[in-house]
Amino acid sequence: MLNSEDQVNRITYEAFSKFSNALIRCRSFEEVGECLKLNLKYLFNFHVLRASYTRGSQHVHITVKANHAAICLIGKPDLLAYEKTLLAKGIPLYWKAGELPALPAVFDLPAQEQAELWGWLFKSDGRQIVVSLLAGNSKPFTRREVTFVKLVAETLESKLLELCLYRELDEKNAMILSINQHQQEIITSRTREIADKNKKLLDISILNAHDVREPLSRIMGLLSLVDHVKSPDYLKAEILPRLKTSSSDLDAALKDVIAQATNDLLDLKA
Amino acid sequence: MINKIVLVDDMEISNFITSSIAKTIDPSLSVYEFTDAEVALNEITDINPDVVLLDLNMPGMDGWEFLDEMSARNLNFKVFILTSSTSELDKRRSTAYAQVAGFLVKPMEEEVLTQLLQSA
Repeated sequence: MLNSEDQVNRITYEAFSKFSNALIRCRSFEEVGECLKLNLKYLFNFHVLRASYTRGSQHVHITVKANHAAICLIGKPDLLAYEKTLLAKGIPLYWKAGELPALPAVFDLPAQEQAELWGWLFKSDGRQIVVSLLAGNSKPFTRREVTFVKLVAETLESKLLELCLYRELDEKNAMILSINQHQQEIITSRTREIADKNKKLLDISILNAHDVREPLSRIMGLLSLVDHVKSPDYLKAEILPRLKTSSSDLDAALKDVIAQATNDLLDLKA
Repeated sequence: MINKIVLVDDMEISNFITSSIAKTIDPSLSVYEFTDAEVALNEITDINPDVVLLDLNMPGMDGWEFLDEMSARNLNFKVFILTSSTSELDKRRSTAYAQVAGFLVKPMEEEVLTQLLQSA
């Protein structure tokens, strides 16, 4: 036979299992807020539940009420004064009715509720989450239920860590993508530059070949005349001086080519 | 029968080579040599040659301008391009001119000129 406490525990564990399964499937902070709003009320009583979580420069603050859940992710912590106390002291704290610390409007309850505030800092493996809840006469919270708050806090902390890591991964991926894009642009522009340079070099080589070929063709032409020359005097007077001029022209053309190519290469490197 | 040829090339030596070969082939041939295309253009009508051998790369008026000017003046003398350029682009461009009968690459060779003088 199960006693009534066992039965309550069994039902609560079932509710926790349902909550845990729903939380695992959440893919965004908004879905986490929605999941808490729907499931937490079956685990323990509260008017308002608040959780604050920090990872690096990401700060998550969640406020859950019976029909409302707010979750915000910000770059700067927005801790309430009593949460700072919880973080500083590291032990569970309890404020009874009439001794509540200053609270934002979302915590407001009618006076007959005799509101009381519970707060915890749950820590494990260097990870931590601050959880607090406001209970009252119509939604009483008892010390026995702290076990479930702790279970919820640990599951929630894991989920928030996962979502924060996804965000970090997305940011890193975006950064890598942008680096890749930048490199692609550099490669494209370098490739274009090289193609331009190749074309210029090709143009230069064609131009140079023409300039060199002109005096060379004269030398070849003059040499072909030698067979028909009838006297050494004619050779000496007409052919040889022209050969000499043409050879000098060829030499000058080659020197030009070398100077020109050197300049062009220097220009291309610049 | 070819009696008169005009050579237009800014290099005197090129003209000397072509004219020497021409006279070896046919000593009776009249060869008119010009190193300035503009001067050649002004005298060509009076000479009335059977063939013009024309260089392309020249300072001042170049071979292309010479051809354009011939067209403008309605001069239909038969022209052979004689250039040291082996460029296929120049060769293609020359086919656009009706008066151009051939494209020869320097140095001029005796067999080529012989054939040219016989066929023209």
